[in-house]
Amino acid sequence: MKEHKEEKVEDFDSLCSRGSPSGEPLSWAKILPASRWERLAAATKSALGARPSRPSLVAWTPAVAVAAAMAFLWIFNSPARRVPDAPPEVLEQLDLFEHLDLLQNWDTARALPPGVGGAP
Amino acid sequence: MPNPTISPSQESKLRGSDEDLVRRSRLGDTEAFGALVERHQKAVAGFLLSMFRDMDIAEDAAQQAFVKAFRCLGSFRGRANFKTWVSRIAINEARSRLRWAKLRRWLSFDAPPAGSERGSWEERLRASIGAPDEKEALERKLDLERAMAALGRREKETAAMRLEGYSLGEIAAVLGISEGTVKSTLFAATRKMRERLS
Repeated sequence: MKEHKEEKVEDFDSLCSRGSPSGEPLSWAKILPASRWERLAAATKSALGARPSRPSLVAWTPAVAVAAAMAFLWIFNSPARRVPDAPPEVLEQLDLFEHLDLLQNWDTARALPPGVGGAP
Repeated sequence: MPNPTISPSQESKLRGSDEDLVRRSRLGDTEAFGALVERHQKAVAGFLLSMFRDMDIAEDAAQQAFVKAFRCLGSFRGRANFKTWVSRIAINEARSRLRWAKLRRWLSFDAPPAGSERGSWEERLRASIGAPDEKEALERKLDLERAMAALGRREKETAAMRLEGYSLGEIAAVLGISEGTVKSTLFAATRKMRERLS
Protein backbone atom coordinates (compact mmCIF):
# COMPACT_ATOMS: atom_id res chain seq x y z
CA MET A 1 0.00 0.00 0.00
CA LYS A 2 2.80 2.38 0.97
CA GLU A 3 4.66 1.56 -2.24
CA HIS A 4 1.49 2.26 -4.21
CA LYS A 5 1.26 5.72 -2.63
CA GLU A 6 4.92 6.41 -3.40
CA GLU A 7 4.18 5.49 -7.03
CA LYS A 8 1.45 8.14 -7.12
CA VAL A 9 3.99 10.80 -6.17
CA GLU A 10 6.50 9.50 -8.71
CA ASP A 11 3.79 9.62 -11.40
CA PHE A 12 3.18 13.26 -10.63
CA ASP A 13 6.89 14.08 -10.62
CA SER A 14 7.52 12.32 -13.93
CA LEU A 15 4.48 13.96 -15.56
CA CYS A 16 5.80 17.37 -14.51
CA SER A 17 9.38 16.63 -15.64
CA ARG A 18 8.56 16.05 -19.32
CA GLY A 19 10.67 18.37 -21.44
CA SER A 20 12.66 19.54 -18.42
CA PRO A 21 16.36 20.09 -19.27
CA SER A 22 17.46 18.95 -15.79
CA GLY A 23 15.01 16.01 -15.60
CA GLU A 24 13.44 17.54 -12.49
CA PRO A 25 9.86 18.87 -12.28
CA LEU A 26 9.51 22.17 -14.14
CA SER A 27 9.47 24.81 -11.42
CA TRP A 28 9.11 28.56 -11.84
CA ALA A 29 12.14 28.95 -9.62
CA LYS A 30 14.29 27.32 -12.33
CA ILE A 31 12.52 28.58 -15.44
CA LEU A 32 12.41 32.30 -14.73
CA PRO A 33 15.68 34.22 -15.08
CA ALA A 34 17.84 34.62 -11.96
CA SER A 35 17.83 38.41 -12.39
CA ARG A 36 14.09 38.45 -11.74
CA TRP A 37 14.51 36.60 -8.43
CA GLU A 38 17.39 38.84 -7.42
CA ARG A 39 15.25 41.94 -8.04
CA LEU A 40 12.42 40.46 -5.98
CA ALA A 41 14.74 39.58 -3.09
CA ALA A 42 16.24 43.09 -3.16
CA ALA A 43 12.76 44.68 -3.14
CA THR A 44 11.67 42.48 -0.22
CA LYS A 45 14.82 43.29 1.77
CA SER A 46 14.28 47.00 1.30
CA ALA A 47 10.61 46.62 2.36
CA LEU A 48 11.68 45.02 5.66
CA GLY A 49 12.88 48.34 7.04
CA ALA A 50 9.80 50.28 5.93
CA ARG A 51 7.30 51.27 8.59
CA PRO A 52 3.88 49.60 8.37
CA SER A 53 1.61 51.69 6.16
CA ARG A 54 -0.83 54.04 7.91
CA PRO A 55 -4.43 52.83 8.11
CA SER A 56 -6.47 53.95 5.15
CA LEU A 57 -9.27 56.55 5.20
CA VAL A 58 -11.83 53.73 5.16
CA ALA A 59 -10.45 52.37 8.41
CA TRP A 60 -9.94 55.54 10.44
CA THR A 61 -12.99 57.63 9.42
CA PRO A 62 -15.53 55.40 11.24
CA ALA A 63 -13.16 55.15 14.22
CA VAL A 64 -12.94 58.96 14.48
CA ALA A 65 -16.74 59.28 14.10
CA VAL A 66 -17.38 56.77 16.91
CA ALA A 67 -14.81 58.48 19.14
CA ALA A 68 -16.41 61.90 18.51
CA ALA A 69 -19.89 60.54 19.32
CA MET A 70 -18.63 58.99 22.55
CA ALA A 71 -16.90 62.24 23.54
CA PHE A 72 -20.12 64.21 22.84
CA LEU A 73 -22.21 61.84 24.97
CA TRP A 74 -19.67 61.88 27.77
CA ILE A 75 -19.49 65.69 27.84
CA PHE A 76 -23.28 66.10 28.00
CA ASN A 77 -23.63 63.37 30.60
CA SER A 78 -20.69 64.34 32.74
CA PRO A 79 -21.52 64.77 36.47
CA ALA A 80 -20.44 68.42 36.32
CA ARG A 81 -23.01 69.30 33.63
CA ARG A 82 -25.84 67.03 34.71
CA VAL A 83 -28.85 68.88 36.21
CA PRO A 84 -30.07 67.02 39.31
CA ASP A 85 -33.32 65.16 38.64
CA ALA A 86 -36.44 66.18 40.56
CA PRO A 87 -37.68 63.65 43.14
CA PRO A 88 -40.10 61.08 41.66
CA GLU A 89 -43.11 62.23 43.69
CA VAL A 90 -42.72 65.76 42.35
CA LEU A 91 -42.69 64.48 38.79
CA GLU A 92 -45.82 62.38 39.45
CA GLN A 93 -47.61 65.41 40.87
CA LEU A 94 -46.56 67.46 37.85
CA ASP A 95 -48.12 64.85 35.59
CA LEU A 96 -51.33 64.88 37.64
CA PHE A 97 -51.61 68.66 37.44
CA GLU A 98 -51.08 68.58 33.70
CA HIS A 99 -53.94 66.11 33.36
CA LEU A 100 -56.19 68.23 35.56
CA ASP A 101 -55.40 71.34 33.47
CA LEU A 102 -56.28 69.43 30.34
CA LEU A 103 -59.65 68.34 31.77
CA GLN A 104 -60.41 71.87 32.97
CA ASN A 105 -59.60 73.29 29.54
CA TRP A 106 -61.82 70.69 27.96
CA ASP A 107 -64.75 71.58 30.24
CA THR A 108 -64.26 75.32 29.57
CA ALA A 109 -64.21 74.73 25.85
CA ARG A 110 -67.45 72.72 25.96
CA ALA A 111 -69.20 75.54 27.82
CA LEU A 112 -68.53 78.04 25.02
CA PRO A 113 -71.26 78.68 22.37
CA PRO A 114 -70.72 77.05 18.98
CA GLY A 115 -68.46 78.97 16.60
CA VAL A 116 -66.44 80.57 19.41
CA GLY A 117 -62.90 79.30 19.89
CA GLY A 118 -62.22 75.71 19.03
CA ALA A 119 -65.27 74.03 20.59
CA PRO A 120 -65.93 70.51 19.41
CA MET B 1 28.86 32.29 -7.59
CA PRO B 2 30.16 34.73 -4.94
CA ASN B 3 28.30 38.00 -4.69
CA PRO B 4 30.80 40.85 -5.35
CA THR B 5 28.87 43.32 -3.19
CA ILE B 6 29.21 41.14 -0.06
CA SER B 7 32.54 40.73 1.71
CA PRO B 8 33.75 37.18 2.58
CA SER B 9 33.18 37.79 6.31
CA GLN B 10 29.60 38.92 5.60
CA GLU B 11 29.07 35.95 3.31
CA SER B 12 30.11 33.46 5.99
CA LYS B 13 27.85 35.29 8.44
CA LEU B 14 24.90 34.75 6.09
CA ARG B 15 25.50 31.02 5.76
CA GLY B 16 24.15 28.70 8.39
CA SER B 17 20.98 26.88 9.23
CA ASP B 18 17.55 28.48 9.04
CA GLU B 19 17.28 28.18 12.85
CA ASP B 20 20.48 30.17 13.26
CA LEU B 21 19.33 32.85 10.79
CA VAL B 22 15.92 33.07 12.50
CA ARG B 23 17.62 33.47 15.88
CA ARG B 24 19.77 36.31 14.53
CA SER B 25 16.79 37.91 12.75
CA ARG B 26 14.90 37.98 16.03
CA LEU B 27 17.68 40.12 17.45
CA GLY B 28 17.04 42.62 14.65
CA ASP B 29 19.67 41.38 12.15
CA THR B 30 17.98 42.25 8.85
CA GLU B 31 20.91 40.79 6.87
CA ALA B 32 20.22 37.38 8.39
CA PHE B 33 16.55 37.69 7.45
CA GLY B 34 17.65 38.79 3.98
CA ALA B 35 19.51 35.48 3.68
CA LEU B 36 16.27 33.65 4.54
CA VAL B 37 14.49 35.68 1.85
CA GLU B 38 17.10 34.70 -0.74
CA ARG B 39 16.90 31.07 0.31
CA HIS B 40 13.11 30.59 0.25
CA GLN B 41 11.42 33.38 -1.71
CA LYS B 42 11.80 31.68 -5.09
CA ALA B 43 9.84 28.62 -3.97
CA VAL B 44 7.15 30.74 -2.29
CA ALA B 45 6.75 33.12 -5.25
CA GLY B 46 6.80 30.11 -7.60
CA PHE B 47 3.80 28.35 -6.08
CA LEU B 48 1.99 31.69 -5.73
CA LEU B 49 2.53 32.28 -9.45
CA SER B 50 0.74 29.02 -10.24
CA MET B 51 -2.14 30.10 -8.00
CA PHE B 52 -2.51 33.67 -9.28
CA ARG B 53 -1.33 33.23 -12.90
CA ASP B 54 0.02 36.76 -12.69
CA MET B 55 3.69 37.50 -12.03
CA ASP B 56 3.19 40.93 -10.46
CA ILE B 57 0.50 39.79 -8.00
CA ALA B 58 2.48 36.65 -7.10
CA GLU B 59 5.65 38.68 -6.43
CA ASP B 60 3.73 41.23 -4.38
CA ALA B 61 2.04 38.51 -2.31
CA ALA B 62 5.37 36.74 -1.75
CA GLN B 63 6.97 40.00 -0.64
CA GLN B 64 4.03 40.71 1.67
CA ALA B 65 4.34 37.24 3.21
CA PHE B 66 8.04 37.74 4.02
CA VAL B 67 7.47 41.23 5.44
CA LYS B 68 4.67 39.83 7.65
CA ALA B 69 6.93 36.99 8.73
CA PHE B 70 9.67 39.47 9.66
CA ARG B 71 7.26 41.55 11.75
CA CYS B 72 5.79 38.45 13.44
CA LEU B 73 9.07 36.62 14.12
CA GLY B 74 8.37 36.97 17.85
CA SER B 75 5.36 34.66 17.47
CA PHE B 76 7.34 32.00 15.56
CA ARG B 77 7.76 29.18 18.08
CA GLY B 78 10.02 27.04 15.91
CA ARG B 79 7.76 23.99 16.00
CA ALA B 80 7.62 24.06 12.18
CA ASN B 81 10.61 24.99 10.07
CA PHE B 82 10.90 28.51 8.73
CA LYS B 83 10.08 27.55 5.14
CA THR B 84 6.76 25.91 6.05
CA TRP B 85 5.88 28.77 8.43
CA VAL B 86 6.44 31.50 5.82
CA SER B 87 4.70 29.39 3.16
CA ARG B 88 1.67 29.11 5.41
CA ILE B 89 1.59 32.90 5.75
CA ALA B 90 1.89 33.14 1.95
CA ILE B 91 -0.92 30.70 1.28
CA ASN B 92 -3.23 32.52 3.68
CA GLU B 93 -2.33 35.77 1.94
CA ALA B 94 -3.11 34.18 -1.44
CA ARG B 95 -6.45 32.72 -0.30
CA SER B 96 -7.48 36.05 1.15
CA ARG B 97 -6.55 37.97 -2.03
CA LEU B 98 -8.35 35.45 -4.21
CA ARG B 99 -11.49 35.67 -2.04
CA TRP B 100 -11.48 39.48 -2.32
CA ALA B 101 -10.89 39.34 -6.06
CA LYS B 102 -13.81 36.94 -6.42
CA LEU B 103 -16.06 39.20 -4.33
CA ARG B 104 -15.03 42.30 -6.29
CA ARG B 105 -15.74 40.56 -9.57
CA TRP B 106 -19.10 39.36 -8.28
CA LEU B 107 -20.04 42.87 -7.13
CA SER B 108 -18.95 44.55 -10.34
CA PHE B 109 -20.60 41.94 -12.58
CA ASP B 110 -17.80 42.42 -15.13
CA ALA B 111 -16.30 39.05 -15.90
CA PRO B 112 -13.32 39.48 -18.26
CA PRO B 113 -13.65 38.03 -21.76
CA ALA B 114 -12.56 34.37 -21.84
CA GLY B 115 -8.90 33.81 -22.61
CA SER B 116 -7.79 37.45 -22.37
CA GLU B 117 -6.27 37.08 -18.88
CA ARG B 118 -4.42 33.90 -19.79
CA GLY B 119 -3.13 35.39 -22.99
CA SER B 120 -1.66 38.42 -21.29
CA TRP B 121 0.17 36.59 -18.51
CA GLU B 122 1.59 34.02 -20.92
CA GLU B 123 2.75 36.76 -23.31
CA ARG B 124 4.45 38.67 -20.52
CA LEU B 125 6.27 35.54 -19.38
CA ARG B 126 7.41 34.78 -22.94
CA ALA B 127 8.70 38.32 -23.26
CA SER B 128 10.79 37.97 -20.09
CA ILE B 129 12.70 34.93 -21.38
CA GLY B 130 15.44 35.15 -24.00
CA ALA B 131 17.36 31.87 -24.54
CA PRO B 132 15.72 29.29 -26.95
CA ASP B 133 16.13 26.31 -24.58
CA GLU B 134 14.58 28.37 -21.79
CA LYS B 135 11.71 29.29 -24.11
CA GLU B 136 11.09 25.60 -24.79
CA ALA B 137 11.04 24.80 -21.09
CA LEU B 138 8.65 27.71 -20.56
CA GLU B 139 6.23 26.30 -23.17
CA ARG B 140 6.25 22.92 -21.40
CA LYS B 141 5.65 24.71 -18.10
CA LEU B 142 2.75 26.69 -19.56
CA ASP B 143 1.21 23.40 -20.79
CA LEU B 144 1.37 22.15 -17.20
CA GLU B 145 -0.16 25.37 -15.91
CA ARG B 146 -3.07 25.05 -18.37
CA ALA B 147 -3.58 21.47 -17.22
CA MET B 148 -3.54 22.66 -13.61
CA ALA B 149 -6.43 25.01 -14.34
CA ALA B 150 -8.71 21.94 -14.17
CA LEU B 151 -7.75 21.24 -10.56
CA GLY B 152 -9.69 22.09 -7.44
CA ARG B 153 -8.26 24.50 -4.88
CA ARG B 154 -6.51 21.95 -2.66
CA GLU B 155 -5.24 19.94 -5.63
CA LYS B 156 -3.86 23.09 -7.20
CA GLU B 157 -2.13 24.22 -4.00
CA THR B 158 -0.63 20.76 -3.48
CA ALA B 159 0.54 20.41 -7.10
CA ALA B 160 1.95 23.95 -7.21
CA MET B 161 4.02 23.37 -4.08
CA ARG B 162 5.24 19.95 -5.24
CA LEU B 163 6.34 21.53 -8.53
CA GLU B 164 8.42 24.07 -6.61
CA GLY B 165 10.27 21.28 -4.83
CA TYR B 166 8.37 21.05 -1.53
CA SER B 167 8.61 17.66 0.16
CA LEU B 168 5.44 15.76 1.09
CA GLY B 169 6.03 16.58 4.75
CA GLU B 170 6.42 20.28 3.99
CA ILE B 171 3.20 20.37 1.92
CA ALA B 172 1.35 18.53 4.70
CA ALA B 173 2.63 21.04 7.29
CA VAL B 174 1.73 24.08 5.18
CA LEU B 175 -1.79 22.88 4.32
CA GLY B 176 -2.44 21.32 7.74
CA ILE B 177 -3.25 17.85 6.31
CA SER B 178 -1.64 14.41 6.59
CA GLU B 179 1.05 13.13 4.23
CA GLY B 180 -1.38 10.41 3.10
CA THR B 181 -3.86 13.08 2.03
CA VAL B 182 -1.09 14.89 0.16
CA LYS B 183 -0.30 11.67 -1.75
CA SER B 184 -3.90 10.96 -2.67
CA THR B 185 -4.41 14.61 -3.67
CA LEU B 186 -1.38 14.38 -5.95
CA PHE B 187 -2.76 11.16 -7.41
CA ALA B 188 -6.07 12.85 -8.27
CA ALA B 189 -4.19 15.85 -9.67
CA THR B 190 -1.99 13.61 -11.85
CA ARG B 191 -5.05 11.88 -13.33
CA LYS B 192 -6.78 15.16 -14.20
CA MET B 193 -3.64 16.78 -15.55
CA ARG B 194 -2.80 13.75 -17.69
CA GLU B 195 -6.27 13.89 -19.27
CA ARG B 196 -5.77 17.55 -20.14
CA LEU B 197 -2.25 17.04 -21.46
CA SER B 198 -3.08 14.10 -23.73
